[in-house]
Amino acid sequence: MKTQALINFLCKNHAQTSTAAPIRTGTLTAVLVSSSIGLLIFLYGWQIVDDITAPPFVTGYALKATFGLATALLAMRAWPALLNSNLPSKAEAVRLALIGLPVALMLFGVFAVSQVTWGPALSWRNGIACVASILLISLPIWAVLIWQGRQGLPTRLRLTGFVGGLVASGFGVPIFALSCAETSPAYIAVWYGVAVVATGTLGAMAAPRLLRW
Amino acid sequence: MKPSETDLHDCLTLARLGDDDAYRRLLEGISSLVHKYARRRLIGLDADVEDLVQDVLLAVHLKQHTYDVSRPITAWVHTIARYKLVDFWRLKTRRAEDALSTESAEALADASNIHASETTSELEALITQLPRLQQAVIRLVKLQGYSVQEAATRLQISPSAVKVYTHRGIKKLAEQLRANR
Repeated sequence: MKTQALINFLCKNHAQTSTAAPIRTGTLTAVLVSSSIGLLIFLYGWQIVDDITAPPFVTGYALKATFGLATALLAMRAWPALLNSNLPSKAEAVRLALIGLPVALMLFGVFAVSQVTWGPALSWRNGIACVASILLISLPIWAVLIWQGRQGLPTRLRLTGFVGGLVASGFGVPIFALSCAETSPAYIAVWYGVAVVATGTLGAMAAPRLLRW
Repeated sequence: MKPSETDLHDCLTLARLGDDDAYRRLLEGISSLVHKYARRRLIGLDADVEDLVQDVLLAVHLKQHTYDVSRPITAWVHTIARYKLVDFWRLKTRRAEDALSTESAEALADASNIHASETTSELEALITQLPRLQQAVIRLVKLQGYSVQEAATRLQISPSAVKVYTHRGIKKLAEQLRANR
């Protein structure tokens, strides 16, 4: 088909062009709905710790949830710009850079300021189980974000998948933390950090196939 | 003439209000912009330039809502065009890697500054001079568009063997073409 013929055809179908607003809103709703699916998966496959009110657990849970939600919310701020095919502004570049802040702060807090107890952090079996669990619980959230991404016009597909993975795992962390009895800051910094980065990396690997348009 | 940022922006604003003429001017403006962009990057690949322009126009038509009116529209169009160009090279490279190495592709490219009309018969005559298996893989993969895997299945040889025979065949063809020039 010649380009002029295509233009004629598109003009005839002008009424069918999408009048939807740029993707700025709706992400939170999508994430909350898909988080409830993640929660159902969690309730089916994992058990909430016995003494949920024990002070060490509450402190550990607060640290994990703050870390997860801070990562998710910072990643969500950068998310819409990735879907709308606009050149990144300085503000967006800053937003993207800020996503790494919770991981950096937690690692700094644990390893530079406090006295590290390495024992729990070196518990590979628990750590790997923790990473795998967060990945699984985050999967429906990531899938919904990718579905949303397909409505847009993302041009940086790996970055979009990575940021989507960070949002998803950020919300997956407080869900999984309900069953995780580990409260050592070193353990949380290492394994929860690994879980968030691993989900982002897998997201970056899978996204090009799913988001290409 | 290259459409200005303001012209395109105005056309899009009017088009969003239902003005069909403005929409036509918008698409024609974008077409001219992308033509210029693609011609500079796909020298000698006129059909691919046309395909790229059409891909961009379709993307603009289907995903117009992703444009943020507070941003420059030319930058938005260039981002889409760049994405489509990268995608074009990605697909082209993948297809090429399936069948031949960069080395033999370059050799063929060097040797293939010949007119399309004389290519077919000349190439056919040269192919018949190749060993039987090299002839078969080149006919299947390069002329009939079969994938390496499909050609391997049809010829009952391994995909690696298909790649090797294609590589050798293309190299010989390139040498023969050079000798005939």
